[in-house]
Amino acid sequence: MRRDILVAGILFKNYVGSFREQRKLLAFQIFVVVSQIPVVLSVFLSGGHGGAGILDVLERFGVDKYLIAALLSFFLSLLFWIPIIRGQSRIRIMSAAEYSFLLSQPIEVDEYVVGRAIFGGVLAPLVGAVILFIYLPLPVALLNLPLWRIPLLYAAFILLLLYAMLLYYTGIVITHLAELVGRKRILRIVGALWLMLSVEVGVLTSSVPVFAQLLGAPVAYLIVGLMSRSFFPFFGLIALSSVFSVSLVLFILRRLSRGVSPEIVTLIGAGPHLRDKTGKVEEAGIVRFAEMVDMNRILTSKIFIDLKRYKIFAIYKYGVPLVATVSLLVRFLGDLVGLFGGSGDLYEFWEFMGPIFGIVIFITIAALMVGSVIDEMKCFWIYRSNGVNDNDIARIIFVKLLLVGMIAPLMTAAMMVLTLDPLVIAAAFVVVTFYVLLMIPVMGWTGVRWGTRVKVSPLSPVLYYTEEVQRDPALQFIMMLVMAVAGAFAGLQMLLFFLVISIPYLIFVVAGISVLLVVIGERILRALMRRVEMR
Amino acid sequence: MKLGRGMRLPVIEAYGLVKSYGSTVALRGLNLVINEGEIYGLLGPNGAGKTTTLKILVSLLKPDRGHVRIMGIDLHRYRVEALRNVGYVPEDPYIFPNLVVREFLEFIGRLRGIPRDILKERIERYLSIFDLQEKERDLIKTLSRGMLQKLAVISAFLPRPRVLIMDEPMSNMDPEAQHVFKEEVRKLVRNGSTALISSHMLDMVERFCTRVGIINKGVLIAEGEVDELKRRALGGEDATLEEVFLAVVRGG
Repeated sequence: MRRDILVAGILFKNYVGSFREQRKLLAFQIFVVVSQIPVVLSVFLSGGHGGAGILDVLERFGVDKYLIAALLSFFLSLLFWIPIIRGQSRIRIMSAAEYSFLLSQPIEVDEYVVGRAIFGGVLAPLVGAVILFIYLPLPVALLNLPLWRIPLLYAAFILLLLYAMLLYYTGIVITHLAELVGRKRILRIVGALWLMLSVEVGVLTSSVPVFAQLLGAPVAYLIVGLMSRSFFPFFGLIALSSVFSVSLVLFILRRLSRGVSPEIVTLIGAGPHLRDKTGKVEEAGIVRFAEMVDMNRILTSKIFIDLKRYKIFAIYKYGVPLVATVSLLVRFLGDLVGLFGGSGDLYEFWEFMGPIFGIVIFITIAALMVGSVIDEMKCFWIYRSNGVNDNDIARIIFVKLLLVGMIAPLMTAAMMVLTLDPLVIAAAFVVVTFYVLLMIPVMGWTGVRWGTRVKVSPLSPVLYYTEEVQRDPALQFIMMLVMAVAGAFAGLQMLLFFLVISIPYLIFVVAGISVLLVVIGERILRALMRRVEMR
Repeated sequence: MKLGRGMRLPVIEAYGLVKSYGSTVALRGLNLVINEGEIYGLLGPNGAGKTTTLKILVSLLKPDRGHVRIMGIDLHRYRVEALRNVGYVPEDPYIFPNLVVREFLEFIGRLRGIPRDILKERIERYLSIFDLQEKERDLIKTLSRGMLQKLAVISAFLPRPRVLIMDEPMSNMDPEAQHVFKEEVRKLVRNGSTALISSHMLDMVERFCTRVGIINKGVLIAEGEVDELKRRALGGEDATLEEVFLAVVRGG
């Protein structure tokens, strides 16, 4: 076990060590924690606004904490079964250093596998899951729970991430072992049967069957219990069993890993990985730059084709109308069953949650925004050495950021269609747009600063959100910055939303300031461009 | 500027370049003058300041002190004008991953104001000689490193620039592409261009470059034609450039 932790430690250092040395990590961790205060405070100060409402509505639909815990248990169990069903028998890593250096050391494969699972469980809260950490206290505020639940929730959440990672790795190792003895297909059939039976029995009985939630239950019930007004019966036993389950799966993973071959680890070559998924572009889809004369058109076309191939416009074209349609349907069906008639609870809740959804959507999109700037900055040598004006580069980067960022207000407004209130829809759109514009200089700065430093690799920005973030300390830094600043502005946005709802004419003031922000944002990007150096 | 008979116009001039990254000093007052029609090889151990120098010459880095003139134009004051004469290949070329090969080359061509018909003709030719014709509709992110390198080189050749500044241009290229590359550079130089190439491939530099400079710890420590360097460093022309390089670098 000591060597497993040693391996996890080496991996951890390999991934996050270098920026720890920059002494910025501590400052940012503090910043991230401080940044969540406005969000949490605004919810706490509202006195759990809307929380009771959603509980009442959910209960009306028969959704109680038992069902939520059962569903979470099912999804956790699914993490074990996913690699089995998919036949995934390899641990895929992206770090060449990890692959070529660490694996060539005298380390047993089982030590590596367990170490890597622990590492994954530890790293996850530091990277993507920071968002969840920021919003974890929200249920406490919404349901007026005692404040001491917050640290317990954090601890349970770390346990959940570690357990999830262990279950996933155990699934991979079992699939690998089955492959070694030529029984992979049978195992996959077993996995598929489990999934089919779980869904079928679940639909027939309108509940989650025990066998479907067995693996994930202890930790899932612990988390849901901590988020509930009253604990489950024998909650102490649940807490104990969750710790026991994690230890047991850790032990099983260790034992099973002794039989696997070193080939269980494969390095994902970013190029070939993408090469499998992409290919030639049809003749009709090729942009004819040679036919263009105007420099503005040439540069803007380049940005548009980039966004088109990242499927950004598909979100505008299909995603936003789909969300609006679903919102309308929910509203229509809700009215039919009297969901909204007698009580304004859900309406109130939705009004409250709108801006929060806006922030969450924005944070998701923020990674894409920063990634798109990083991509431009890595190619900055093309612009500069071909004599493109800095102001022109700033303009196209601004347009790119705006086109990606505007998904957030549109999505939020599409969700707010549920309220059928033009003021609420308009307020959500205007306020989230304001937020996006406020964040554009931050995203631009971050992308420019790191895009000129990050080691070159042929990856799409979408991947920055996943493996690439885990691989590159500089990108982890970016993600932390984005989340910290986004969190810091989030409280402001929420207050602004409620202000606009209560004083409607403010909508024009916010819109006016937004126009100003466009001008300011572009100026800031121009100033940034003039100072760009590609190290 | 009036020049004597046989003298050539200085095309790249860098005087007193100083550049630091935090506490690390990359260049310590580097002077470099490259004349018209030269194929200049810039050599140096890792971390000597070669890439920093080249990046300063194309304005990707700003020197802390010193100044640069390209074709007699002050790079700092008239950057866009100066760089219209330059074709650049970076050490590790990252190219717009979501454009296809042809789109990228057309994009570069239009940025450089190459007339449409000439551009199409040049693209066809370069794709053909660098064996990338089959890849012209492929997304750039799907190309191998060697292909990316070829594409970066083509983008530098495309405007037929007066000055070529190339950082390890042949790395990852197959032997045939290396041969084509050298032939094209020679052709461009015959037509009035000048090339500055940074490389660790000493054999290639020895046979290909007309003049060589060796940089170490941010200063130019030796410069001259290959034979001249051999004479000065080792007292004879039988030595290889590798021996000269080692003698000069180790000798400080």
